[in-house]
Amino acid sequence: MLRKTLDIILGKDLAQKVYGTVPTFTANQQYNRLERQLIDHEAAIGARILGPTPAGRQRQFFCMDSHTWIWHETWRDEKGKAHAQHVQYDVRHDSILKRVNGGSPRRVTGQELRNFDYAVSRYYQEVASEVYGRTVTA
Amino acid sequence: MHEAFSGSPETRAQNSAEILELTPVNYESTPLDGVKQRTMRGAMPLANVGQEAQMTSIGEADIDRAIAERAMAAGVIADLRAYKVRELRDAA
Repeated sequence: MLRKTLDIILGKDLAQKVYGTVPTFTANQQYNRLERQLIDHEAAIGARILGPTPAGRQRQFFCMDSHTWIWHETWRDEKGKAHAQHVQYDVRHDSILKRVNGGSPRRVTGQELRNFDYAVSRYYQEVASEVYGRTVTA
Repeated sequence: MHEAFSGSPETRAQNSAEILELTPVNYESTPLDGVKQRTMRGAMPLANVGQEAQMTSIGEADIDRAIAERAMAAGVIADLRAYKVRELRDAA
């Protein structure tokens, strides 16, 4: 109320100089922010499941929704140029499709499919337990 | 649609847990990037999907379907997340 009054009296620009910028969040922004924080936590666990991350790389592996899994990596080469690899796994009822950097989808098979199976099962167990406090027996 | 994907978040989480526990993996695997090997314990049916003999007897299509079903079950994490976000937001 005080802030609103000052906004009216001093004008928004001057009031901001006096009080500084106070971030305010709409319900939607708040929802997105909380969701992002949880995904970050999950993604760190996902990265750990995939094994040690090479020095200089940032890795995330997380469940985006019930049918979509994301594996994202960024790094810089020796010349300092930034690189990114974005892999999206789409879960169909009878198969897993993979897109690398937005390219054409291809069916995941063989060892890669088994590795994906391992990773998502492990992710479920560790995230359910560590982030959401669910008891999961392995 | 499998029952794991209907009902409350609690029900779906429980159902997903059952799917994942009934068909856990039990093979040495190198996760997606092939960096590190780990073993999961507590194997049962489809547990040995990594073994060539079972690959042959079950059939690759069946294995693909079973793995896809497990992945969907694991995807219940997204429901748990949404539930948690609403809980945190309402508590704020």
